Amino acid sequence: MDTIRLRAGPESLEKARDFVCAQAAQTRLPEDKRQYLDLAVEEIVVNQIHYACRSPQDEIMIECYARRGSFYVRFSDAGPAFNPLLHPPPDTSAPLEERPIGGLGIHLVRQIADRLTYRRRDGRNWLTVTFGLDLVSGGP
Amino acid sequence: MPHITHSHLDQVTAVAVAGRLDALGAPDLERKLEELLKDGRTLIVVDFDGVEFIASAGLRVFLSHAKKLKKAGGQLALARLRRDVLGVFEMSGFTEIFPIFAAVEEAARALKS
Repeated sequence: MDTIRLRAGPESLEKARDFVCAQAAQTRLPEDKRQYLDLAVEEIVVNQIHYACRSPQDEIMIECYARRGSFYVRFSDAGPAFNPLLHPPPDTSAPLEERPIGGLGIHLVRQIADRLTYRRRDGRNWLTVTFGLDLVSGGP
Repeated sequence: MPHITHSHLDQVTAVAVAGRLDALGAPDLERKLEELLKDGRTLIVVDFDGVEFIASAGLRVFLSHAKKLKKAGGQLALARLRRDVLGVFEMSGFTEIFPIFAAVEEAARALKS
């Protein structure tokens, strides 16, 4: 399992993506799920930078590991408790005028992840996104 | 950062975007669309041919600009979306609120009519 710690600033978005993509490259993650992984990292880290962290000095931690046929990415921050799974999904059938600007990021992550879990522990938010690996062709 | 250019097809403006429409790239597109609106360009086709990735930050720019254009009597259409980019629009329910076309010319014709 590898871990990266990043400052909660926009310059960390690309570093987070590069780290997670490099970790995924060592696994049997199918190509279509790599696209989804890219999207999930973007949405979750953007949320951490904008909402969870109060200053750019705050730290975001990302851990990656492959276990029992799945690739796990766990995002952690010391921001106020926020469980995105309790956030009501946006109305994706509303007309243009009634669509709110925002709230879409976590909705996308919920749709593309094979599993999404949240825990509050040790004063930190822990959000884990899971993607199934390609088991047919072997791998970790 | 995405590469953004525009060209005029009569009263319609085609905005060609290449690159990633993520939290870092979306503000560039927002600025370009704002400039065009200030110049009175209210019929906009966004050419997605070079867009390899879109996230909610990019979707927000389209939603917010489509609302502004509607108030100004205009409209926003999208053309040439890659399959995975189209997938993100579908998951967001955005295919219901944006007209989407296979070709820029086809989108421009629809906006003019």
